[in-house]
Amino acid sequence: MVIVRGGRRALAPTVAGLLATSALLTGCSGAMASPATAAADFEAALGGGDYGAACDLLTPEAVTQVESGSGQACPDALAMLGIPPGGEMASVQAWGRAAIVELDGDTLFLARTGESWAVRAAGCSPVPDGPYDCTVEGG
Amino acid sequence: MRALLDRIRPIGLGLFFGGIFAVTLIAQSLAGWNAFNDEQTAAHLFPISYLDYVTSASFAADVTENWQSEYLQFLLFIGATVWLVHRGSPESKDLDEVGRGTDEQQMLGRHVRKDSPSWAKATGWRRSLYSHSLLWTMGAIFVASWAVQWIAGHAAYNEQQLIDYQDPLTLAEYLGSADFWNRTFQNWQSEFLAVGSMVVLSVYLRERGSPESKPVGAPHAETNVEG
Repeated sequence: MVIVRGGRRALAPTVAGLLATSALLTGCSGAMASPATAAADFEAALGGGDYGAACDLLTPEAVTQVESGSGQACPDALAMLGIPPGGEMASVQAWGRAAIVELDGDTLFLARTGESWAVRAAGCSPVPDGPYDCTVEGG
Repeated sequence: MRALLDRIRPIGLGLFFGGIFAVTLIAQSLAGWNAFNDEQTAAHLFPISYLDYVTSASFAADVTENWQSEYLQFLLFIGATVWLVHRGSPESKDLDEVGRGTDEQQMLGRHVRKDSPSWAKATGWRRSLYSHSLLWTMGAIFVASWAVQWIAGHAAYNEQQLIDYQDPLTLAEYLGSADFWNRTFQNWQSEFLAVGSMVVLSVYLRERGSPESKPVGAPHAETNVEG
C-alpha cells in the first residue's frame, strides 16, 4: 500500500502536508500513528537532543544493536552515532508492515509494531545494487 | 440421511472439489501464516495475527499466482482441443473432427432441442457469445487472477524489499522483475506438464470407471472414447 510517493525535488512536501495526505490516502483518522508521524517524531527528538525519546521510537532490535555496538545505554549511544539531521520529508512509502521515509538529509526504515510504527534503521545511504548502508540497523 | 445423500449425489463431484478447495485454502492460510511469522521473527520483526495475514498482500499473491495458472491451463486446454488432436487420447476429438463442428453436431440452428439453453436457441450476438462463454469466462478469471497476482505480488515484494533495506519498485518495474515472472512461470510450467501428461498417458494407461480414461479394453489407437 503506497501512502505517499513524491519526487524529492518535484514535490518537496512539508511534513504537515505529508501527514495530511497520508491520513487521507489510508483512511486513517489519527487513531493509529502513521510511519510519517513516527519518522517526524523521531527526527524532532533527534533535532531537540532528546535521545531518550528517540530511543523510545526505535524497534527493540534497533535499540539492542545500538547498545551492543557501543556498550552504552541507547540515549548515549545514539548521541555519539551522529545521525545526520533529516530535514524536510520528501516521500513516504508503506508496504504491508514496512515503510521507508526519505528526508532531504537521511533515509529511515520503519516497521509496524502492533498498532504503531517504530524506526528500524536510520542514517541510511543508498548503495548501488545493494541494501542501504545504515548507521542504526535493527536486524 | 438417505434423502440428503440422494439429493447431493447428482452434484457430488462439484461438492467434493468445492469442499477440498475450502479445506486446503484454510490449510494454506494456516501454513502460510506460520511461515510468514517465522520470517518476521528471523528479521526481528513482530509476528502478525491470522486476520492480518489472510488480508495481506503476501497471502493474496500466493493464492492468486496458483489460481491464474489453473485457469490458464483450462483456457488453453479448452481452446487448443478445438484445433489440435492427439491420436489415442480420450481428451482429444477424433482426428478428422478438427474445428468448430457443424450446426448439427453443436445442436444449433434448426438442430436445437426444446431443452437447449435459450441463448443457444437465439441468433446473432447472443448465440455467438454463448458459443464461447466457457472460454471467455475461464479467460476472464485467468486475467483477473493474474492482475491480482501482479498487484498483490508487487506489494508483497516491496514489503520484503523494505525489510531487506532496499528500494521498492513501481508497479511497472515489478511487471518486468524476475520475481513476477518467476512466480508466473513456475506455475505455468507445472500446469502445462500436468495437462500434457494427461493427454499422453491416457493413451496407454487406464482407470476403470473414470470418464477421464478410455475403457480398460480400448485399443491404444482409439481416440475420443471415454470409460
